[in-house]
Amino acid sequence: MSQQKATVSRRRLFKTAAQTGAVAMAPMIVPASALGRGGATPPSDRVTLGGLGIGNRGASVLKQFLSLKDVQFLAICDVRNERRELVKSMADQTYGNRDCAMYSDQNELWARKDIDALLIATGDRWHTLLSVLSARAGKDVYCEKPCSMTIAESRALANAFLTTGRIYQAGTQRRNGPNFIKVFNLARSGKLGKIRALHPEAGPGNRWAPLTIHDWLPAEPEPPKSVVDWDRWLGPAPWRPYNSQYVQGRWRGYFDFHGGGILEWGSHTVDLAQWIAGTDDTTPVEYEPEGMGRDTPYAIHCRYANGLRLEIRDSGFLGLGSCHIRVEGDAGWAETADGGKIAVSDNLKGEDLSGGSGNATLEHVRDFVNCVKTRKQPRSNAAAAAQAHIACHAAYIAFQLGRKLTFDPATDTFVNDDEANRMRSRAWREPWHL
Amino acid sequence: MARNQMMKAMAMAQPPQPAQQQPVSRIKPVMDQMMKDPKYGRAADIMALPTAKLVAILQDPGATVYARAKACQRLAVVGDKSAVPALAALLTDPQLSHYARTGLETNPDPSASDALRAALGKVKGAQLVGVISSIGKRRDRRAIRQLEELRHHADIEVCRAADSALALIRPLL
Repeated sequence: MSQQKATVSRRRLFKTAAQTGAVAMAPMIVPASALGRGGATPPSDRVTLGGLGIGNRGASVLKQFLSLKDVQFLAICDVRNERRELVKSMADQTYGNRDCAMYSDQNELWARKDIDALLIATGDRWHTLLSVLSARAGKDVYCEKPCSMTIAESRALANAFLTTGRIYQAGTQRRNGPNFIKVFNLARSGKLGKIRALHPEAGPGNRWAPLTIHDWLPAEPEPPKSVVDWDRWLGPAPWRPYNSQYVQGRWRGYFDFHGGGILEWGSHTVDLAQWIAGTDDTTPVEYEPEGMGRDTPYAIHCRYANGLRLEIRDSGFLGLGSCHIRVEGDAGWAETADGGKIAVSDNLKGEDLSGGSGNATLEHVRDFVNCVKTRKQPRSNAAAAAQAHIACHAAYIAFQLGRKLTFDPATDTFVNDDEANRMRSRAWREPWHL
Repeated sequence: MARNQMMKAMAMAQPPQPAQQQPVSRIKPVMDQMMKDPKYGRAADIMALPTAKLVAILQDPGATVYARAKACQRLAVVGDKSAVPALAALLTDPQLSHYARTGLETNPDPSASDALRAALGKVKGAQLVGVISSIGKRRDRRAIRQLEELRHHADIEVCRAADSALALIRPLL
């Protein structure tokens, strides 16, 4: 249902009601909660939200948004009818109404002037394009990671939010995870001494293969557009014949849809390393891959201009859960992961390391909503996210080429390597452009 | 995605960790399912070929769309001046126009810009939008006059693409 149609419908309703005298006769009953009484947030203080492409992960994030009293989710846009219905059901059950609108065309969502912000949780191929166009449409954006497919997309993302002044939060919720914050504070307090190296885990190769493939699955009959709009599902990605496996979530690992295993978790853990090291405004200048192949152990040895090392690994040192990050200083080290536990060097055993568990996604969503209201920059803002993603893309390019690369963060270019520079961007399929 | 999977995710109080988002078996494509060109084989076979053989695939009338698409993608990284005519010939192909742009957009030879500019008068609709977009990404100053004219095109999407391309070519001082 488009906004225009909805508006016409309401006008007709009021016209009909007026003609029958219903408006004059019916008492106006407005629930006190809608006005902010009874502890509810008044409408003027609520952030209104829409969703673009909500699947498994998106639904988990949306659940956190729906738990916030100062957020009102108003509409879902998805190319899959099944998902539209499920998300509408989720929102309507929360609010006890039938108000969540459904769209298959994002233009209809952008046209909704009553929506402040969007949750984008489509496949990766759409993330940058939708984020940038949403910003231009005047929307603030919370977008799942990875936020970009290339170095060029990362820069376009950062520039779009700088120039439009919209608020952007990447879905890298570990920046608001209590255990990761504790490690950040340990590093920043100087208790680890001078930071020498950061060791982010990009994920084991047998789970998140660093290399993607260029293959196509065999063609299957395309479903009706009302069920799955295949052309819109592909979006800016290259055309290939329909196969139901892709739309069922099995699109990762294909070059056209995915940035590879290093980006998959690196968008979280390299991002954490950048944040902890205070390098949100730059990237490493050297990238040297070690280990090749789809399933074999690997590492990317990176170095910043000031000599600080970034050691992208395929595992943590200690097995503390997924998405490890270890910070190594000349006076000690600290390591944590999704398990919540924080391990430290012997000299730091007396530190208070409790309180490391918590709902990072809820805190991250809360951070975003607060910033939508205050217009301050959230912890995973576009500029910071772009730099972390550029580091991951550069590492992946070095891995694909199997050679050490030198990178200039000031110009986003590899030094004296034309082949690597040609891998910094991809052409978007028509008619998509920025 | 199965309905019950999504409902389960919605019901979870804590978000899944990345390792739980996609079980191992779901993110590793099964290679023996993949498409093959009867003459040129799988994507990895095609993309291992040298430039001259990739160009030959583009010129082979018996090559499948699949083989040509993969050749274009590889030429995006390794193609030189010799690849430009074969790529340019595909800019008007409804299925391969985007793949041809993929091959041309990053080609360092100036003839790639010439080919894209020449295509402005040959393609329409979405393909024209795509060609304009690629010209913008190449920052082709020689296209400014044509792009200025396209800002007044009857198709609003073409106008918008021309605006965007010009903004890339003529950035703020």
